[in-house]
Amino acid sequence: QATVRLGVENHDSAQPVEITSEELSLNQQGGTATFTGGVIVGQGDVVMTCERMVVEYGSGDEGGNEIRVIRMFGGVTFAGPTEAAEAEEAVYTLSEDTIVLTGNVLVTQGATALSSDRLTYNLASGAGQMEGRVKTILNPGNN
Amino acid sequence: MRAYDNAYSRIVSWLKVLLPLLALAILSTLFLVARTIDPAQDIPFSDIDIDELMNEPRIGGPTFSGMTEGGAAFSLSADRAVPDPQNTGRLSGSDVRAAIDLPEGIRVDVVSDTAEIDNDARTAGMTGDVKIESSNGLTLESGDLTIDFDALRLWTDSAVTLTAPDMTLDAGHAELVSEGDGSGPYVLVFKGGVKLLYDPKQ
Repeated sequence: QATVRLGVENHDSAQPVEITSEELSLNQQGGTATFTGGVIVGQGDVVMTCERMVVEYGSGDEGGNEIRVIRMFGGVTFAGPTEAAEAEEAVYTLSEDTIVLTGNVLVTQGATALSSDRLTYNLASGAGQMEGRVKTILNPGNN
Repeated sequence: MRAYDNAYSRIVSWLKVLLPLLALAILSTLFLVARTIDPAQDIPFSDIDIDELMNEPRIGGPTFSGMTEGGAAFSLSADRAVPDPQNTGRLSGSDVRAAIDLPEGIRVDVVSDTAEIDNDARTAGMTGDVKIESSNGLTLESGDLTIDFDALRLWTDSAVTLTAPDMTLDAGHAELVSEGDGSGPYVLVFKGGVKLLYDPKQ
């Protein structure tokens, strides 16, 4: 159990999201959009990358399409303005402003690095909660 | 004319002569000033249409509709279509409109400038700023679109832009294909580099 700050306070998840990838398959009936191949997602100053991403959307309150959950698979990296995190999978639920990274998560903050099985990160408060075999790797480096 | 002693009667007697003369003069000019009527210009017609009609057989407002195996009804109509002399199964149409009702209830309307319709292969190759609108609010624009009515597959070879209520997307090319044997859910696949901008506040 360790808390980590990723330096992204009051991240507004209603900002425009820009997604680039090789391919996209849009299943209107199922309400899912699957991006594959070098997926990069940018929202404000947060950038996430992965191999495959499934976006689940439904009809928003004013009728437009509203993204609900973004699931990412395969070499997920999450980069905030000051820190970065890596994991095998990630689930970003917009309504709760949380990103859950699972599968040997590695968070690097400047010289120190923390690894664990799972990181639950709240974008609004900017606090991250690492659970499961948390290890801290201090990098003495230059002294 | 009898001499009158008062001016009034004299004036009236003069008027009795002058006014009819004036009337006669007006009447006679009526026929001198008549409009010249040129019989040749009465019926406006253009000779271009006739030459065109003469040397190429064509169909005005053809409509071509049917049903695919997957159970999707489609119709294709054009303002004008000219059959291909070498191959009777082929037509090239202009100002083409296609409408496809997908089994899951989504209707796709396609509009394009020109189309090569191949009856035997049951395909339509549409070119010239193709606009595709689906009943669930998606609009796609592309340089071309090919529709295979049998397998009910639509694909574009040139870049495509998709606009939806709060999302715009650009991709190398797009393809609407049904997973499974044609009755499965329809999936719109974009390939060749995809860039999507989703803006909820729009």
